[in-house]
Amino acid sequence: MKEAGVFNYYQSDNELDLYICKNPKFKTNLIQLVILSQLDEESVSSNALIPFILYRGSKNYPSSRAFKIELDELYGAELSVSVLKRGEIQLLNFSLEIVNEKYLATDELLLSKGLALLKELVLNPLFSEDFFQQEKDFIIKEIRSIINDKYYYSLNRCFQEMCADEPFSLYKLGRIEDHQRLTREEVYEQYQKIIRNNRILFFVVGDVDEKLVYEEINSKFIFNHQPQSEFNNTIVKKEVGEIKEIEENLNVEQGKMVLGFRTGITRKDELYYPLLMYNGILGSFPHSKLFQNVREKESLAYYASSSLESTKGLLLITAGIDFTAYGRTREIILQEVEKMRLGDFTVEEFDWTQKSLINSFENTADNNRGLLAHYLLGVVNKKEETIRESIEGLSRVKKEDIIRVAENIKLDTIYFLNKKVEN
Amino acid sequence: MQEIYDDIIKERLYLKKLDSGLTVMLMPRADYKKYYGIFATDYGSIDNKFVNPETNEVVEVPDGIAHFLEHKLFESEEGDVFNKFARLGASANAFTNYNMTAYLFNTSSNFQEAVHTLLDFVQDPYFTDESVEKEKGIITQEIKMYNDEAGYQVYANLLEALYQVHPVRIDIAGTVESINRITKEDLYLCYNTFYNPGNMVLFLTGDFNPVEIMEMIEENQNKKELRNYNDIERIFPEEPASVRESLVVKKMDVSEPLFRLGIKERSLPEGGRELLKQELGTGLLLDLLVGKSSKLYQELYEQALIDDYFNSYYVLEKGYGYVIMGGKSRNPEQLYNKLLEGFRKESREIREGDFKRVYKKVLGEYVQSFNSFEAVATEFISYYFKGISFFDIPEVIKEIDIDYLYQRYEGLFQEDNFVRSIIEVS
Repeated sequence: MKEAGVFNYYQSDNELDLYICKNPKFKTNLIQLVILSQLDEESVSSNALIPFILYRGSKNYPSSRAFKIELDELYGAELSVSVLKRGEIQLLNFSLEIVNEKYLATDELLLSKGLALLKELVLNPLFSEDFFQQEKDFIIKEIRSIINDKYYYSLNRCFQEMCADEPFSLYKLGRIEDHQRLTREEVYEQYQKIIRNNRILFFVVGDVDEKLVYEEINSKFIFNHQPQSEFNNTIVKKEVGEIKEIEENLNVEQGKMVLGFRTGITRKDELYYPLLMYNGILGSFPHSKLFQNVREKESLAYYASSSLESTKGLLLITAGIDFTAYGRTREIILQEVEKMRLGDFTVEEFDWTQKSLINSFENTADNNRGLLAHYLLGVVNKKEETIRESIEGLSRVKKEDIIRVAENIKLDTIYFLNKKVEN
Repeated sequence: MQEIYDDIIKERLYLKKLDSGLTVMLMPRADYKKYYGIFATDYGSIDNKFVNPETNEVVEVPDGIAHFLEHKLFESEEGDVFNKFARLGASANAFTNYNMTAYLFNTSSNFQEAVHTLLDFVQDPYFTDESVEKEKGIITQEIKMYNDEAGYQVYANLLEALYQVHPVRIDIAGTVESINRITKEDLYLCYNTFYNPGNMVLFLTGDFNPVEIMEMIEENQNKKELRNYNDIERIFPEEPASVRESLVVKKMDVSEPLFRLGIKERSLPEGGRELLKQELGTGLLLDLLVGKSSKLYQELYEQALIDDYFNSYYVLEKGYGYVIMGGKSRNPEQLYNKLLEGFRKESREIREGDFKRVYKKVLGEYVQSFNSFEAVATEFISYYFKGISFFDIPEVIKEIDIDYLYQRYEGLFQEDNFVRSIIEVS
């Protein structure tokens, strides 16, 4: 059996959590630094601004352009910052991918230079008033632009309505009204606070010498860091009230239907792998019930599928349909969900789904970013697993387990994006 | 079997044109568990007028048919092709673009069976009137989905305005009206014309023995009676040098305007290294003028006329080419004027140091692309259809100097080649 990518854990002297995966097949080295933060109203907006302000310039690279020129010089290294939400954890990501110099006619130690650049970005910021003002304007525009992508907009709206009373309803980039009143001083203070108090994860994937990389990070990333141990207090609701039905109207040609369910199951639960199987049989592949029945049999949609938010324990079903097909599509989707509850799926559906999921895990192991994202989600959920362990977990699932999962699946919210009514 | 070793990325490509005319490319990759295969035909949405090889008559088929055909090949006499792959633990997909149609799979087990499944389903069409009708509802929803995507509309409108008659101005999926005219007979006609082995390439990559796999493919092909038309005659209208419209505006439910600037290419090499040099050189020029590390980009960003999603790239195919750049902008008019001013200024200030820098970037990106099976396979195939080897990039890029970039700038950056596409807030 080939190695599927194992991360070895190290802790730096100032309690950075390092996860290093040595893997000879990748032609680049990927480094990602992740600051974890509990998602809450007080900090969500200022946290979200921080990575973008940092990327605007540091003391030695006083503009974004200075960073980008250096990245070109490092053979097109890619440095990106992003903000993600997993369950009720906000993740501030700083990622750098850089070619392994053994594929280039150069003696430069590219990884070392890349680490130095990343350190400069995260720990030596300018944080000027100009940068703050501009990035604040950009993030407000960015939040408003969710509506430009109607698919993403409809998913996000369903989550929002469904979890209206929970922190999960907060958008990953925060709230416009917060951004409007934040000051540079407040955000800078928040930056210092999270650098000092929050858990910071450091991932490396590539054909590297583990010990050397560890030494390098340990000696370079020296700063006052005393992380609090507790993180991830995601609320996982198992019960639902009356089904919420939301309809909105925009100038669109296609209706978008999103059904939000509570599963009560997250990655750290023993029913997680049965839940993956449940989702696969129901709707994540072309052989799944939703694709086969909504699309192939009735030609109602181009896409009809289900997906999981595995840190919060939610399942979403989504389909893009003609406005007049709302009733019929809803009926078929709920019928298929009911079939899952009754255990009405064949040995083939079970078998194909299991094989397809194993295949997608194997693919993940062969992709540096996929591998990193898999392990990161494990860390966030306090259940760190190699790809191999995930495949084993999946292989143990029995039909009865899936039926147990089905008993937990409860419809919470139906969201429909409809066309505007003509006056 | 030809063997090509690339000593930069340290990988080997095995190449063979089989007796049937099919081109096979194999790239073994040690240490990977994943296998990836793609079977493509040199046939895309622009090939909508051609000579019927059996009757020698010129035919014009409904818009969107290449894409429709791609959907329908997934139906076989025994049922859904997706299920055949699922049974093997493989995952299948396909795509159609302006120039090619490709069928693909990835798997970590049953690789050889998956290769057979791929070859067999693409080489065994099965269309019925009923299944053709059924697909119309699905593709109608696909078209409507794209009609609601502002980012796609701003791009589609740009192509429509850049070209007066060339079919690249027509949407890949066609329109709801055009796809509703498609019949089973149309599909067979297109299939028979373009899906013969001489017009197709199979690319496989993963941890396998290339000799064994090549034999297996030959055996598969030798069992079949495959027709080959040596000269497919495609008919393209004479495209005038000038653009159709210099400005096209549409209103949609968006948060702020979307802007694209297109530049129509008039220099159109037939293919081969000349085409590759022009493609790479123009890409370098764009990086220097308005790339992420350019002065202009920084200025526009600081004036909040662009955001970090602003990008620019160059497309060069046989018969058409264009530059495209843009993103969201609070003021497309002002952005356009600043871009024009910026191009003039930056083009006078290209320095050797900047040139070397973006050159390094392109080289690094070339190496990096070999992390992705999907990217490598698609690049090799699409370049092959243009008479180019993807491995030639590092060598051809060396032929480019600053004078060549000036020449490119003069040829391309003429205001009458410019088209703007804008989505306004409704």
